[in-house]
Amino acid sequence: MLSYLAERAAWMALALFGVSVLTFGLGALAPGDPAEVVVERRLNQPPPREQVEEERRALGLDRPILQQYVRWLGRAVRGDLGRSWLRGIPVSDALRQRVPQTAALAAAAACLSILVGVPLGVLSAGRRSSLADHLCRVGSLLGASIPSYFVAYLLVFTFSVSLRALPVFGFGTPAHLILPAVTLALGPTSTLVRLTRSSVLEALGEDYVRTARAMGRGRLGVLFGHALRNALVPILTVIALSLGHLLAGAIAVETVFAWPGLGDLTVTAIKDRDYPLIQGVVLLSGAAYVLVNFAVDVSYGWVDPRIRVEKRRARR
Amino acid sequence: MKLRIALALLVLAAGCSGDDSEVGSAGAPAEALPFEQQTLTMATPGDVFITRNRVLLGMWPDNANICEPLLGIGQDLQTVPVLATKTTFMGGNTFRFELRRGVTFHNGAPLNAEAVRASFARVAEKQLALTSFIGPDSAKVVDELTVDVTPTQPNLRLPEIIAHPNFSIIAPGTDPADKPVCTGPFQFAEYTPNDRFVAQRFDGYWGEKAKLRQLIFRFIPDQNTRRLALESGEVDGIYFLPPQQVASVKGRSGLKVAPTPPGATVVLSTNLHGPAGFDLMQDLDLRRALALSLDPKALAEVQWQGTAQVISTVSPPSVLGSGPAQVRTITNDLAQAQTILEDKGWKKGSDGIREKDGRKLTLVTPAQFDFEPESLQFIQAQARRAGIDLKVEKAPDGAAYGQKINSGQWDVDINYWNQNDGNPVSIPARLWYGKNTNARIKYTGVGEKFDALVSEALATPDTKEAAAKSVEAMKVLIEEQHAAIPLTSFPQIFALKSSVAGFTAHPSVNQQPWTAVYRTK
Repeated sequence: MLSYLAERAAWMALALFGVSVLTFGLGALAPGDPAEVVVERRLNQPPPREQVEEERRALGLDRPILQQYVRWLGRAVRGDLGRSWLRGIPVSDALRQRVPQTAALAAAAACLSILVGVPLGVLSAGRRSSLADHLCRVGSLLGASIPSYFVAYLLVFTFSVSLRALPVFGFGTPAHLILPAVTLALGPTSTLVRLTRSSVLEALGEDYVRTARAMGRGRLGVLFGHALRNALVPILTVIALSLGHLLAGAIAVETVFAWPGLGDLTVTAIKDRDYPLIQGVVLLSGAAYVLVNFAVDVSYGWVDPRIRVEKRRARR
Repeated sequence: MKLRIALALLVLAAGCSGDDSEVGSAGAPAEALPFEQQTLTMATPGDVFITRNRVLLGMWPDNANICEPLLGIGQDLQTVPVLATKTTFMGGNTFRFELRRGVTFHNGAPLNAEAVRASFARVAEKQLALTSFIGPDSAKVVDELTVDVTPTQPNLRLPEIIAHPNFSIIAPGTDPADKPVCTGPFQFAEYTPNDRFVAQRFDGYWGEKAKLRQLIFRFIPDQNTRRLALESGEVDGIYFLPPQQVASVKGRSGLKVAPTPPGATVVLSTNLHGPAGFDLMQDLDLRRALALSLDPKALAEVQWQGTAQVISTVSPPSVLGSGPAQVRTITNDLAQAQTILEDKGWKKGSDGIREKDGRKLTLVTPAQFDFEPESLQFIQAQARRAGIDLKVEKAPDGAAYGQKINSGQWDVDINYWNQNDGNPVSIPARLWYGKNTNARIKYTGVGEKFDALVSEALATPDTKEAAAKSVEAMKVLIEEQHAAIPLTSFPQIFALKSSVAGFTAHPSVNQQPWTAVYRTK
């Protein structure tokens, strides 16, 4: 198991290195002279050449690109992602202010999609070709197809404007979380329903399920205790991918609901061409994505003993 | 299961049908709510305070009336006394301001000349001076309630320029980035970045006390969400309603619209001295044909739903007093535009665009990045009727746009300009004046005659005379040179609950007064 973990950790480190190269490249390839932008924003007028050169030296932009990358990476590893050009505060502070909101929204949406998506998928598979199955399939298709901003407006119009049951925007109370979380959860839930259904259907055709039935296990026991457990690996993979997306910040959802998370920060950073901030968001999102996938990779061995056994055999 | 589906469909149907009776109360009675309930919540597009290290917290762009400058601007864009009761031109480049007696800051400290000196030094230090040329030592204390201000360069438009929230007077020893402590009718209560800014009434205010107990700005970036928040009753009013939504808001009971007097202008600018490849607008006849091909009246009626007005100057008419009528309109004669182009040898090609000697009449147009796309397309379509192709190259942001304009690699620019102070020559001096060396965006080269008139406007202490000189300069800019083609002057539009009373929209939204506003039952 330890060597399996070490192998996954090595792949994770490689992926993070790739993310860092791409993130740094984003700033380096961006049009315009960063030093000029920084000075112009500070002075609020076209900057004198000497001041631009001075700023370029101060930012280390006069050094070779490789040296710049190594310097940037060294700082990034220590948590120093530079300063936001427009806000004038450290990028890490700007991210720290937004991560809790995005994490809360992502966690709520993830819980919702798992709690709804997996049981619905199992139900759909267990009652194949029934009305419930058809409804689940059509519903999940619609959920995956409708753009999230449209769903967001529809929900706001229904539950906030017409029924006055939930707030339109903002954050701070559980009521504020409901509409953004439901909107955000819709896509992953639909995917989970479809995937769980197909995985469980496949498992239901296996010999061990027939054996379990022959041994007198109840319908639910067979579905959840045998079929679902054996179908969990692909489901976990999809959950991990969804969680990565959710943590990366749901741009449209956060903008519509004025939810002050990473997605909203990304939009304003892009609008302002605030490259250190954009780099910070991309790096953080990439790292979150890689870490979640690492956690899921590790959990495979726990969820499915066959993976542990295969690894052990391969070592021998 | 069927019952659940039916319920879900019912809920959706209720949502789609809308319910006017739920929104506000039509024909709201004029009786004011008790003072304890006088809280007004306004939705603004986003938290701009957070940028620039919060140096203008509560002052700009959302003005909570916490801080006040020495002078302000009224509904007619003319300066009015605020913290300074008397302004005297002392000769040379110096203005003397006599301060209002008995004014205290929110922390109880008295307003005095030292506070003004320190505030002006802060303006210089934080680079908030706009085109005022205020330096760190520009303000000098004369006595307890008198201060002299001398800009670092000749600038007799100073009184009009400092009527901007950037020049607010701050209590000595306080930092507005943490908590603005000033003299206004409201005082700071709470700021949660990206969520809300809260101000409450200052009972020790020197002037008319605010009717509201609390004023709240909520930051909602998405314009549709702002509108839905208003309809749901979560906010009492919203900034910047798109003109296309005016009719639908008017049609809903419990809501009303409040447009500002026109305080911004839409202007096409032509590149008189473009390099090779961008030299078509060097020809006065082509500039004239372009101007004649455009119909600002149709733009105002169709795109602005009748809320805009056709103009003949680059500044809003109100800031120029009686002057605008002296500048002739140079637009809206398509037949003449086509005749000019035919006479110059520009013939229509198969695609409807004119060409001459193998060169298409295509004009590179780097429109301001956030210029409304529908209006842009409308202007393009109008020019195309005459066979002129406005090839829009929108810049991604303000910095890129400025770089494009300053590089000279463009033919025609479409932009809108805000009049946020009372200076009648502000817009011409900022954009076309050859002697202005610190402009972010500048169209140069109108000529000595224009520069001389702007210089005279800047050199007179009398605002009316400055307005007259500004009009003269615009006659050169517009009538003679066609360097600028004014189209419309347009308002910003607020949407409010009908129960909000006493609200008068100010032509400069960042100077919006809140003292007279109150909520009715």
